[in-house]
Amino acid sequence: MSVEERLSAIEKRLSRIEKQVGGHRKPEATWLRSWLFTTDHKRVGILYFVTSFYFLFIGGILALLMRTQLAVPESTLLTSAAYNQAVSMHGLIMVLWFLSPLGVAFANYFVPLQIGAKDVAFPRFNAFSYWMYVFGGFVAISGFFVPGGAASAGWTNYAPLSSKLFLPGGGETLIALGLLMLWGSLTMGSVNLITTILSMRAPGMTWTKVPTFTWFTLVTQLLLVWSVPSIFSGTLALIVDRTLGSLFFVSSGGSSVLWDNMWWFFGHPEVYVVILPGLGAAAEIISVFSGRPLYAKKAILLGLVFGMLPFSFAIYGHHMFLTGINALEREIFTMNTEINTIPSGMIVICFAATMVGGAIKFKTPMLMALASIATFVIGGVTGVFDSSLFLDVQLRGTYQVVSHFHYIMVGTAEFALFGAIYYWMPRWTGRMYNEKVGKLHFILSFIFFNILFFPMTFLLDMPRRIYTYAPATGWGPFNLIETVGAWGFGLAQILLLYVMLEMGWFGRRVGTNPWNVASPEWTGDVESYVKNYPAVYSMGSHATDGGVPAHAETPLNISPFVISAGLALFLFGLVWSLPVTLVGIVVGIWGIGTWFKDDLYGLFKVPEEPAGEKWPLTHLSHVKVGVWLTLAGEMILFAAIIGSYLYIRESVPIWPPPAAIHNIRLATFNTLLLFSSGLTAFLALYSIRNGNRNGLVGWLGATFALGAGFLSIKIIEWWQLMTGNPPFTIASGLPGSTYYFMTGVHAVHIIVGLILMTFLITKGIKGGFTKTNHDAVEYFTLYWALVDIVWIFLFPLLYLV
Amino acid sequence: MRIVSMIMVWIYIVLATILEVVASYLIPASSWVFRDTVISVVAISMAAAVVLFYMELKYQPRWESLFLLTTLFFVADLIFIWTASLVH
Repeated sequence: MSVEERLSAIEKRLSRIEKQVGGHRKPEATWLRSWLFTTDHKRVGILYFVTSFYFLFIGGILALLMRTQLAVPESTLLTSAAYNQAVSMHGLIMVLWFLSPLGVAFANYFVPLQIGAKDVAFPRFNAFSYWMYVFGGFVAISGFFVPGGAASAGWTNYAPLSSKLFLPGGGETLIALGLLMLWGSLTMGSVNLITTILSMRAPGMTWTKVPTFTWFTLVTQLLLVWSVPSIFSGTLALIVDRTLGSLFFVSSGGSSVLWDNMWWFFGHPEVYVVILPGLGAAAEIISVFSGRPLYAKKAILLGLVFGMLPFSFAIYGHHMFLTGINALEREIFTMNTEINTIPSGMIVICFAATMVGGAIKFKTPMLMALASIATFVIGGVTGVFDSSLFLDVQLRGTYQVVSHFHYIMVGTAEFALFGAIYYWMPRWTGRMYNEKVGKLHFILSFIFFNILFFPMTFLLDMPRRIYTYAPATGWGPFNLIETVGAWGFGLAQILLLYVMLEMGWFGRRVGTNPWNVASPEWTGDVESYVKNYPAVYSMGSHATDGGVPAHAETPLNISPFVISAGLALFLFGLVWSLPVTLVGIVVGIWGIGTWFKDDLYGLFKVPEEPAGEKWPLTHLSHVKVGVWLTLAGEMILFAAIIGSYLYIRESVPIWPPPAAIHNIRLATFNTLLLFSSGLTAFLALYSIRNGNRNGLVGWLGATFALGAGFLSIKIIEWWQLMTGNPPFTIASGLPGSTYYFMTGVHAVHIIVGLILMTFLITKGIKGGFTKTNHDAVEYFTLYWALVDIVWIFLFPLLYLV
Repeated sequence: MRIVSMIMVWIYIVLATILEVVASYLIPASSWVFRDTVISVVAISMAAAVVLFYMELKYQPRWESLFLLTTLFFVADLIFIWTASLVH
């Protein structure tokens, strides 16, 4: 049979299978299914939007409970335990499940429209990110319903307070598990959006023409891809501490400073993750409503990319001034923090300069954007005081700090994002809000926000984590005023709900571009926006919804929903009951199987993207960009794990010689097995590049055998160590904790590699790869090389030194 | 011939691994700074070989190294700050 005949037979078979399973895979798009199984960026954006407000409601209720408790001295509304749960869950929900995702909602909807892409780079992963976020939130919140209540170690989950020693209830474990899902969601989401912006811009959409909001989104997502893996590893270590008895955060060697490093390496960049999408939207709003282009846009962007982005990883230690870290390091953190105010200041000055000489229209979006800038200045100025090492000693842990970060996180981010709702929601729905109601919402929100947070600036002696206080402290009047502000601010949001319903359902219909903006998300016409380039693709040529230019929708897919639900059940069951865990495993495997099946038979097809602007990655496919970004995240993950190990080794004076514990010969042999699999993986790639399909399958099989062999010997090694005399277990000390944790995380990567190889071998046997179509093999080779590299460092660290 | 290069890299990695093991036995624990330096240098050279050959960055346009190099900056930042935070 000739090659053509074989290909034809395969195509016929695929077509037959597609018909057979098509009924399941492509269900009729009922209303519910069209939302649950959507992979379309606009729908996913709307889902993020609605869900973030659901979490705002929960976080807001908790805030009102806290403020009511503190309104008067010696209040008994909440117990100390209940207060601690409220304050912890409020912080976590507001920062991680409301503010960040609200920015992601706008990014999801508008970034592809702004740059002229048909969708995000990886639509299925986009939906997967969303469902991981939702189910992660459910797992986290379920802590309220377990004995001991929800997490109560603060939004930072500081160790050792978050350990089982101090908080034995299930709530702390559930928040860690929920966070783990969220970190996965954030990483996938950031890889997706970065790849979209780097590789999927329409022809002519060069970097200088990329709209400001998309630029700010790019920096936000880069921050996430480099920061999240640190806390991912920290959360994983916390879970292992709480469930398997390791000692990362409950021994003098690991301890609180290790957690601080892991948390704040993520936590400080997260501040920018929260505010930058809002500031990006504010930039667009101020420009539009001033009738002038953004002043010094290039300078702002340079400040973001080369200032704020790298510096946010070099200033996080200002959260740790009182932990006893190195003195020189503290001084450097102070200096870096103050240097980092330069790009922030530039943003404010350039926004103000944009308005100078402009025909300013004080519509609600503009008022919200201005409120955002005003609160950014107040929060920024108070932050400069906090960044000073000497003042921080006095102000740390007081309500002054609470005021500072709420001016940034709520004032700057929330007002800007509220502005974005007023500005962009008419684009979603084709309906306009009532300007009077919008302005009333702005006025009440701004006044009550300041009534709530400004008095805190003067509570320099009130500790921020107390649930009640004595009348003699004199804090009562301030707290009463703040509580009035909190209720006023909360109730003012009913107006926001009203205008959102108005824009969604019963508001006045407006044209496709009520603000008369030239930006392509409004006109649908990238061609006119970028001008003077040979047009290949214009969004205006696609399907329309209600007269508004729109993209054709990407297909439905059940896998993201099913896998996320399975994972949530699995994690939930770890705390609740074993049967639930087992159900989660079954559901998860079903979801993963469906995903691979779709790939194997090409059942999930995204429309081809025409070639566009990709500089400087002109030679890279968007998938390869995504793979490299994922590997970048993996590098930070293992850097955090290795960094923790080095930190622990440095702080523990006596460490047993590896030869006294491990069988070095066996470990060396095993290491050589793994390193050999790196060569065979490359030979598989080499074979298919030369059109040798048998070689591909054979070398992949050899790689699988070597990887499985490595894993088997590793398991044998674990078994021997755990059953030895004396047993060497994860709970027997920091050497055991670090050894099992590091080799365990690496082993999970081996297992993932084996699963990927199973898929590749199956596809290879079915003739799915050819000389010109074998990208998946190349991406796997990259992944497997990283697994090798990690072991290159783990082997000497664990077995030789 | 690229395939030959790949096999040479594999041989180098095998030999370097054995060198690390030998160094850990031969260099006494009292000279741990020297021992750890030798092993670190060898490990970094092995990682560089994998990156250049198995990940093929040696044969790709330089921009493909963008993600790796920028991430290495943050890796160095992380390792330095974490380990330095205990030094007094």
